[in-house]
Amino acid sequence: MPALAVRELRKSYGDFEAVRGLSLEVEPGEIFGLIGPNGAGKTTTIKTIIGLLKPDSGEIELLGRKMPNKGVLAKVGYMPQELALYRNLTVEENLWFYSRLYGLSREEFEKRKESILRFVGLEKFRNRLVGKLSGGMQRRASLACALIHDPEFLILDEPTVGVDPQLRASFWSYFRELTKEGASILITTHYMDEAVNCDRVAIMMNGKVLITAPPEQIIEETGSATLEEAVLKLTGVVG
Amino acid sequence: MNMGRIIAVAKRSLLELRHDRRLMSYALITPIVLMVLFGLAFGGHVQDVKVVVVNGDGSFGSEFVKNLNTSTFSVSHAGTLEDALNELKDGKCWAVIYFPRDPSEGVKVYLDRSNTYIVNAIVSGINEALMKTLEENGLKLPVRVKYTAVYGSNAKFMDTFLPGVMSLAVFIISMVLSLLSFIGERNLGTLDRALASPMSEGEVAIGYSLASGIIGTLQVIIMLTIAVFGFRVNVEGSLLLSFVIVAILAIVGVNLGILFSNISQNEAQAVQFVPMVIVPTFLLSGIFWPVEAIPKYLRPFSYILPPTYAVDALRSVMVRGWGLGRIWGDVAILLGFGTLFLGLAVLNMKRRR
Repeated sequence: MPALAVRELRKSYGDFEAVRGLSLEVEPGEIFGLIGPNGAGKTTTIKTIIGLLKPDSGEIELLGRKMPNKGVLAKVGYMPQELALYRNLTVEENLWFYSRLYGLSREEFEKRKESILRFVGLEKFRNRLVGKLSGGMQRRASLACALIHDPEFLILDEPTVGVDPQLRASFWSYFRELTKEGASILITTHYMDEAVNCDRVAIMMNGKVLITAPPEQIIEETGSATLEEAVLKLTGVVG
Repeated sequence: MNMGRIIAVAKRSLLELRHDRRLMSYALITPIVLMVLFGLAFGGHVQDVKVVVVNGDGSFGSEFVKNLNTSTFSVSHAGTLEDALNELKDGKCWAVIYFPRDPSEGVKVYLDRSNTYIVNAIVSGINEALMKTLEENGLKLPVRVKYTAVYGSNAKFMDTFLPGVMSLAVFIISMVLSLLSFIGERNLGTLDRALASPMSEGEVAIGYSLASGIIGTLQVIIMLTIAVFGFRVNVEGSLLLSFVIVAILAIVGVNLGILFSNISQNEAQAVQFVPMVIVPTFLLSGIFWPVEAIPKYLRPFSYILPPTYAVDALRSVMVRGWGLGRIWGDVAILLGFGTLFLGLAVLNMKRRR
């Protein structure tokens, strides 16, 4: 059974159809990349999956439960494109708040927060207000908040925007580590050099999936040198 | 509904306030400033009103002047009526009291009626002095009017205004705080992230309401402390009941703020709603003028303003010393407003999906 199954999803805003009959499946323990040009419908898809938007039609099954289902969200971590942190709270207070939303007890939180802070390298900044952190540190804090409850399924919308290459690399090795522990990840990104790290990617265009396959296979089948070239060929968007 | 999440939302709001000096001082210093300003400006009675006496009559006139209240009036004398009237026309005094040579002509008072408060003080002051002088001269009126205060026997100007000032401050501040905070939540994505967790929209709104109730109570404690110790205001009824009324009003304000946050994209747009709420509240909810003094066609607006009921209930508790048994109508309506706006705020959050 897939960790996430989306079938024939449709969502429009007024006259504009943002998602037109999208289907995809994310296998347990997989890093699944959703890539495509701006306006392809990636964020709408993600927001619909997590229940922030109501689909017009289609089915979503997350961790074996039909969505919308508030209960299953306790096992899901979500990192939106925006910062999604309280700027007037410290890093630790932000972590505490989100841990409470996911029902962690004080003890569980105290235990969990140390390893998370260490991973994102914010141990020394735990008492600093988020608004006073650099952009990169804010992204790290945001990721930490999505991970605080040790989710089984992780939804990351452009998690590496504004993050330097070193940290990006460590983000990806951590994602890989998480999947080894059994978590599944759905990620959107603009950086093709990091999208190749996904187990499979779905290339989106105008609200539809053009192709779903491992990145190497897409590169090979399109006769391209890089994933970037392959995506350009497939979407017809030549930059 | 999960109590843990509701408390987390409330605690987070309070934590945010603690870290943000600007908002913190807005929430806690504004009530202090308002209270001190209103207390100083409205604290006393009308005092030192300049009047000029022209005494052509002699004994009756001087007895009368003796009986004028010395704190209300500041009396000077003039030789002729013309001189006195010139002073009045030049704005150097508010009234001229003229005792003609022939007492049978009566007493004549010339007034500058440009300020109602002062005129009222002059008229009642003169009547008081006149009665006293007549009685001292052995004149007994066949009928006397005796006023006995059933409520508010010690009430000063300030006692009547305090409930209004408190309601105004708590209502506006709770609305503005939630308006600003919610715009931030929507723009920064924190609301989305929170709603992508098991938390429901209802828990968000109730959490916000809880925090706002706490802040509102805190504001009232500060304002009451200043009013009681600084301006010697009497509180006849239950303090606890006053806190409850104010806390409900704060909840109404907070949810109204959430609603307004949806129709504004940023802080700049949001501030435009503030006068739209402040001005009608200030004028129509019985803070300074009783609802009875508001023209009939405007009164329906008074009755749709939640602070109207809070002001009425608070005044009954603080000045009349009434208990919940006699103000439950106001409290019920306030609770109704609170539930209504909370429901609307929740629907509003859901509608954005």
